[in-house]
Amino acid sequence: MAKRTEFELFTKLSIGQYMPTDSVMHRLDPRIKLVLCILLICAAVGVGSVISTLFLLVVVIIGLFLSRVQVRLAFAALRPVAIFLVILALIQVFAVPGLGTSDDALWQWRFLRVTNRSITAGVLLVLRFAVIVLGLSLFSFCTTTTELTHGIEHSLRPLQRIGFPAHELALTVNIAVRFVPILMGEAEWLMKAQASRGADFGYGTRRGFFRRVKRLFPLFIPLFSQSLKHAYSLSEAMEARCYMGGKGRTYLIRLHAKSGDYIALSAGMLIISIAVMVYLFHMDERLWSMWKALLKGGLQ
Amino acid sequence: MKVTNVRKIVIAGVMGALCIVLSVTPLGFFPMPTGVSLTTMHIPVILGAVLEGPVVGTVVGCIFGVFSLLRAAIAPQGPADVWFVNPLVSVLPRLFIGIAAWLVYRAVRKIHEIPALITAGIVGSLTNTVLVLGVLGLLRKLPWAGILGIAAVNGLPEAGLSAVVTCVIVASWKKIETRRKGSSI
Repeated sequence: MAKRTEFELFTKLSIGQYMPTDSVMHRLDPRIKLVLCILLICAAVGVGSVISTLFLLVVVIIGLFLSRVQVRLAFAALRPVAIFLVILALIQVFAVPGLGTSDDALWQWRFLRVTNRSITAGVLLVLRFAVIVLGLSLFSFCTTTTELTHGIEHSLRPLQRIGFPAHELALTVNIAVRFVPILMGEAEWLMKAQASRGADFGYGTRRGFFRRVKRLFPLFIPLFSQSLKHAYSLSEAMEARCYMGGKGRTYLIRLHAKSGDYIALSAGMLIISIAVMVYLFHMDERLWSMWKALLKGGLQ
Repeated sequence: MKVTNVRKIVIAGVMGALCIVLSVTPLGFFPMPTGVSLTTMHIPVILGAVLEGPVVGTVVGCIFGVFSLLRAAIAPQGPADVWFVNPLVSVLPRLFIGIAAWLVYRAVRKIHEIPALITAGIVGSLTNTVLVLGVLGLLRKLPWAGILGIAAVNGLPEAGLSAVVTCVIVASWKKIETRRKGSSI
């Protein structure tokens, strides 16, 4: 017997909510938020030092406070993942064989081995996830989807001169974002409709492969053909209204960066480059050895 | 020329939305008795390529890739998701699904529509499997022997699944005559 929640697809989509608090972060130019968010994620993925990742995390949390959204909400996104993250980090610390040899082991028991490098890898994993998740939620808390698509289009517009279809790409992203809730509702509606006709979607039963695949058809065929129908009628509607692509198009909303926006952009770039520099020039190790020397000196 | 352009933009957007819907709902995961689940998320990419050409396929593949990166970062569901936070693993291989599926579809279509759809589904799915696992192998996240195992256990049924689903959906959309008729329910 299927549980009711099996059909409630909307509850699974929790990320990407907009919080209208009209703070400093909300009034920033969306282009700048977009660029900084992408740079932040790249930096968090690429940087392999604990101190710079911690630095980025602190900056993101400061940003959350600046956005005047309840910080609790941002951390709520981390909660369902937390146990999983801890397990992954423990695997990194104890059981990844590639990290370190038996020589530099701090602690060893059979195949379990803890080294400096494995502890760093585990801590980094947790911090990196926190930075990316909190950064993305900060971005989605203070940027509407309209601002997002305007931001994409306007930041790609310089490329339009060399023939890159910036407007078309932004429109595609916009359509995709708008269609997600529509198609989600459609899928939920179809699942309920077919279940009420006695369809069993065959989760967990052991049958032949193709027979099980065939059970997907009552769901997949209407879902796909409905969305294709939506697509064709949308494109017909656009053509009927004389949509001609991006060439010579004027905009209702024009983005103008103010001086505050430039300050925010340079501050963000500076912060991210500091984090990258710290990693590239191994400044965290130097800081660590300085700290140890200081402690030694203090003890003597 | 303009007329087809609007339709291409819209189809790319809607197929991208379908990729996202499949990946956040249980519809995108087809559970197998072996315990692993097969993905159906690349099927919109193949459909976009087959219906509207390689550019649409690449754009939908890009949306699929970026969203799988975001999903792996935000809501990881297995240890493999840690690897998918790298754009080289999650975005780059997905750009080629559409191109490969479209090339094969165009080549075989001269013979007959149905085999063309089946081979497009198989080739598109195998492109995904081979390239993603290949990048993982090149980055030395997995030993090559393990990769072969995953490709056999996961990749081959996935190719079969995507071939059947692609063929059935496009055939029903284009109203191509097959001998079967009516719903199974």
